[in-house]
Amino acid sequence: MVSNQRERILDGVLQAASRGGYAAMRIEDVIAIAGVSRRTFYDHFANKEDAFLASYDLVLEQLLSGVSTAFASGETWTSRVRRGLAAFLNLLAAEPVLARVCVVEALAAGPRALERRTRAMRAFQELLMPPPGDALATGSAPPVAIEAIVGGIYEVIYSRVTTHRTEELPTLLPSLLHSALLPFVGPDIAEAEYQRVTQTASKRSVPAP
Amino acid sequence: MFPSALPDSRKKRQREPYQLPAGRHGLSRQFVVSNQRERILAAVADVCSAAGYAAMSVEDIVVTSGVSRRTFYDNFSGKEDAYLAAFDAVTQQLLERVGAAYAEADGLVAKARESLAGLLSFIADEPTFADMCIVEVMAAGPSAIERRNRTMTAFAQMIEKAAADELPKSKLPPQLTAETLVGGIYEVVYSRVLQGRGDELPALLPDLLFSVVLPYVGQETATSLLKNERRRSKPRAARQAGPGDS
Repeated sequence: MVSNQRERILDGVLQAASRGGYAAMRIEDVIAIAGVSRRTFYDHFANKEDAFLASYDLVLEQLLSGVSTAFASGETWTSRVRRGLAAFLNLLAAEPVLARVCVVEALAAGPRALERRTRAMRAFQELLMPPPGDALATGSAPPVAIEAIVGGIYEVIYSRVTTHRTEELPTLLPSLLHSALLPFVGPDIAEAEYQRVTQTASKRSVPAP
Repeated sequence: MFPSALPDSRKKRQREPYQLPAGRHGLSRQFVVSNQRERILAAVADVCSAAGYAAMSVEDIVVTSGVSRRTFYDNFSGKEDAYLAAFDAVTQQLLERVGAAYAEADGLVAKARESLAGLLSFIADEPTFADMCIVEVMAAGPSAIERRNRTMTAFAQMIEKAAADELPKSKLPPQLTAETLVGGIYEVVYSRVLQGRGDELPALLPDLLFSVVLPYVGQETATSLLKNERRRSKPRAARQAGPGDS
């Protein structure tokens, strides 16, 4: 019962934050959606920020776990990035509430949320650095360049989510993949990957290896 | 641009106080009005930087600027209105500075270099404006975010134009490239400004330049540019200090 209540509150936070934004979100809204009392809310969370951080942690975990699983299913670094990025875009497109919270509202929810976001961005940066000795990924780029790639991917996604075009996200795969791979595999392979995923992007499914 | 009206105890950087004497001063109404508006905008930047957009109140702005509440509401309908005006004023100056650097430089690489250098030095020189326009904008509501997006689109179009002027169509990278590059620069800048390390940004010119030109000129050229720029850059302290705030 207790964990069910907590889950309902977290879901209520996600719904309320994605609908009206974090700033405007009230505990009244959350408990109305969750169907719990105010007392119950405060049994679980100290305040609005606390509840938001818990829900943000939950959806970030879902997102990172989905991406990591897809990433790990590839046999080469190039195919891992392709699968991981495709999974990322597909997950966000399939879950607009999650997309809104993770991509948009986290930036408006105070310094602790920003810290979590920064950590998540660093985790993505790790995935976008090929292991030394990779057969295809022979190029190099300074760390700030990787930061800029992750940041750029984030910003392109952000603009679609804030304009309610979440369903378009999978169509961004070819160009974003090109940007991610280019410094390491060079223009020919990056272009080949671009073409390869162009056909499958519109089908909104994880591409074949 | 507009001088700080923030009291000493809350200043992050030293600026000249700039306040009209109280009462009759014999100055033309137009001068007084524009001066007051400037003071309000300066106060918005200072309060926003110190307290954040959410916590900023009209009262804070009025107290910090030294104008009356009546004068504030003669100029602006509320906090958001004043914020957007301050944002526009700073962004305009930024676009002018970067635009001038871009126009004077020849070719994609030089345009990228000079534009980036202009952008990074502006942000490093103006931490309060950077806080307001780069960090706090994300929490300032949909109108602010729309303005921010427009500014970023303008920068992306500058990249696209320089590339289209120089490269054959077959050599151009995918369509979202410029948007992705601008977004990436934004994020790198954002993280440093958020941590109060905006002064480190000019030192990132080589790495950011590498990122921007890579899709257009290739790995070899981008890497040699990176190396040349790293050799060329000097510690900020070794460069002559710029003029005081206007």
